[in-house]
Amino acid sequence: MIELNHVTRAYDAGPPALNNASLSVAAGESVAVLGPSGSGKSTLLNLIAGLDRPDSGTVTVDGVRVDGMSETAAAKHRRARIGMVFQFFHLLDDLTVTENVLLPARLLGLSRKAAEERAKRLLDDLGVGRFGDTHPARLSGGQRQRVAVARALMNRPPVLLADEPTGALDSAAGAEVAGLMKDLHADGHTIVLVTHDLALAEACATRTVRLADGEVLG
Amino acid sequence: MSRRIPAIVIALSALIAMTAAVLAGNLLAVSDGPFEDAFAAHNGAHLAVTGTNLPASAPGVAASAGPYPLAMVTARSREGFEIPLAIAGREEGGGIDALTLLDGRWPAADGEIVMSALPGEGPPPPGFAFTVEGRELTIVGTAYSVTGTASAWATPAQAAAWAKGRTQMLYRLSDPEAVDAAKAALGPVEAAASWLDVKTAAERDTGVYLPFLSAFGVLGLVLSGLVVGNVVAGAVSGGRRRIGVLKAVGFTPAQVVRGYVARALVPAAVGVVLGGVIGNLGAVPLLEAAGEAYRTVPSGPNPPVTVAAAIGLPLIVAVVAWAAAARAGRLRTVDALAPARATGRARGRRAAALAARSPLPRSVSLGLARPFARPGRAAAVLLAVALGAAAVTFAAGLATSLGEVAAARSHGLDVTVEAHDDPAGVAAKLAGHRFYGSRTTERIVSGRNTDVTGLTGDTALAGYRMTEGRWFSAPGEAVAAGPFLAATGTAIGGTVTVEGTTLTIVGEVFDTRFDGMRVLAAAGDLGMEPDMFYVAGATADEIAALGLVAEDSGDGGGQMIGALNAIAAAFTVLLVAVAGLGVVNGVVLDVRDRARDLGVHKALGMTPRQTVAGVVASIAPAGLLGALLGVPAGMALHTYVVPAMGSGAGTKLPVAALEVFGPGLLAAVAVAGPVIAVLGALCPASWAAGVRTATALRGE
Repeated sequence: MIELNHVTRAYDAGPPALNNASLSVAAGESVAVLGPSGSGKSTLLNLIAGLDRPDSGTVTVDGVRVDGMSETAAAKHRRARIGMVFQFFHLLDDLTVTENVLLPARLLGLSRKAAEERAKRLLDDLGVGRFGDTHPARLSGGQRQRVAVARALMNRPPVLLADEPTGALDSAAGAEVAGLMKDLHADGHTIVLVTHDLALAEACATRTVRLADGEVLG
Repeated sequence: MSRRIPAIVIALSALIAMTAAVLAGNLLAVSDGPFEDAFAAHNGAHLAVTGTNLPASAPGVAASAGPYPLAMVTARSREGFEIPLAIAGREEGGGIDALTLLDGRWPAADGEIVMSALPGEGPPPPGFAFTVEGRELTIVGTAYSVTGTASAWATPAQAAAWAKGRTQMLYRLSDPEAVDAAKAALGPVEAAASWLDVKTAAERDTGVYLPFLSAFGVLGLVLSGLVVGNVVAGAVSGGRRRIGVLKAVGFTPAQVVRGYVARALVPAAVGVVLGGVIGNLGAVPLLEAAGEAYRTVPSGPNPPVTVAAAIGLPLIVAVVAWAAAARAGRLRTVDALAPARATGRARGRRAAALAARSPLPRSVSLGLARPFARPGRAAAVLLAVALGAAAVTFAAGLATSLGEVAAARSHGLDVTVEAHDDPAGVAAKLAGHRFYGSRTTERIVSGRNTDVTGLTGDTALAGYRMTEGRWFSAPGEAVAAGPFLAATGTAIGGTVTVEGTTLTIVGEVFDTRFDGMRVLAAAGDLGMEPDMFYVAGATADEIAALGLVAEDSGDGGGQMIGALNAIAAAFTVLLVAVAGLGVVNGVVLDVRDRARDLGVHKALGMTPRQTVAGVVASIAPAGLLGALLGVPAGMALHTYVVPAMGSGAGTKLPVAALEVFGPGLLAAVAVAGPVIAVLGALCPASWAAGVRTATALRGE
């Protein structure tokens, strides 16, 4: 499902964030990428999502090369194949919970009615259905992350990328989200989870990969 | 980009305001300076009176000079051109209206004259010869009279020979403003010229420029204030963390505010310096024209004007910037250092919800709701667009009005035919063509030296435009220019007497020649035969084939109209540029504020094109509303300024020059607002679309 071959990415004059890194993730697998701050975890995720491009090497997702994609093609790639969950949720403050979740579907051109039905079901499934008309600022961290997950799943992407999904949460909310990730994997989603939280990795990943100084250690 | 744009916007707006202020200020200074100086230096005549047996003193008269013999003759050149001349018999100098010899020498014998150097007209050079009543008259010099009391001077004996008893008296009045009372005290006179009319005529050039320069100056000043306020407020709102850090390390609130004021003042100073240079350079030709009108050495730009503008404008910038930056001083350090998005903002949510339910593409509806989240900034951008649209509307209206004025001043057709010797024969040969004939000569009408034009043929072809009443159509009818009617106190429906013929004035015509002292009637009523014919729909060759002396008519466009159009175009381009940059600045600030949101949009699959569409959509309401506000404002400015320009020129303007905003022109200027908004938004929108999503999200 995901193939990174000898990928290098450097920013400015510093050492490369990723250095000749290779990684293969099979469909339905849940992989946790572990490593300390600055090890290149987020860069790895950005490259898979097409948010960034490698200086060298190739990145393939669902059989499609994303390393050389134009910005437009990369955006369409994300709409169709990638769901993203961020450490700081990245919900839009001026939109309601429902509007946040609807956004990827509306960008894809889905009818509002069909999209609303799916958004409601997703929010209900994730236990935040009653907050549909609320703005994100009024929710707890755990609730916000559940909304972010609902948004990530809106277009039924085959791949879910999660960047430190519990990093901004207290332990109780973190445990909630960990359980959620586990459920999603059980439902058949391919997940790449970036974290430095070993407990989270053990709770929801079938395999762990370690990164240090931009290199994949295995 | 985000640092340079605000500086450029401030510098450009300051440049415009400064340029307009220096130009308008210099013209204001000159409009009541040189003429007064020249009048005092030459001891000008407050009242120049023509008649017989004129008194040397009367109530209100402080001093007098004369009587001088005054001949009203028609001089004919060898080429056949006729020039009406008022020749006074005087010596050089004189106690009142001192005559100054500009070149050549003073007449010493019969048959010699010096010509008056009339403002804006080059008199025939010394050596040029005329024939008057069969006798040759040679120009031996050029002289200047500050009050223009005659068109030429000869020896008293020569003038007396042609004067037939007519004399001229020059008076200085104890109260220079009480000209009418002094004139009444003199009793019946043939003609009387007031120094106030001369002064008004001398000030006409500057009178035309002042209203529209002032209009552009006000637009520039308002735009400057708006841009400075918007830029500084944007810098403050975008620099919360910086403000917090500065205060945390020991900066006082006043020091923080001063820092922001300095950020506005430095580029403003650059604009002021450049605007001062451009304004002074631009003022030179205008002042030269004014100096020429007064026969004074052009004084050059007035330094106090530049100094006053150079102090006043930065002061305005500083005050506006201080007001906008005051928030930075009030901001609590702890709040400034706190994460900016700890809580969601309440503003704009209703609009966002409404937009979300619209059938528009989501990227567009997201943008449309954006102005409601930042209403202050949106209002500033809207005002910038509105001012740009107002400038375009005003300039387009002005250009159209000036075009109409130029058309109203142009009376030539395709071919000009000379007919000095046999007008009837020429008219007969032109019988198969559309033509009109004319002859202009100077006469005394209602006591005033007046250009009288007699017309024959299809006079509608002459293209005279009426400002009131109608064109003459029956025997005994005439039309006159506004300044003539005002100067002689004649109303439409009243009568004038030209060489013993009484004519009824049936309309006021737009005609600025001879300072508007113009009467036009059928040539037959004036006892005239045309000396020129103007033919439409023919070439000079075709007319020459009839055995006539014909030439293609030249372009009659005026220099002043060209200059007015050029200045208006330059100011408009600058104002539109500043308005556009004001939009750029507003959108850049907004895009910076929304960097994280835009990153999220892109992470969720928004394409660059959708990002551009969203950013452009966020400015679309300002473009449309800006046009709705700016176009009527520009029209209102036009309605006020254009008649004021006409008034400055001493005339009413034809209706066609005032009512210029037809559907076509309105449609054209209506797109100005949206175009300014969209062009201003495109650059930052492209920048937003090009920013790497990962970078935008990392910015959090």
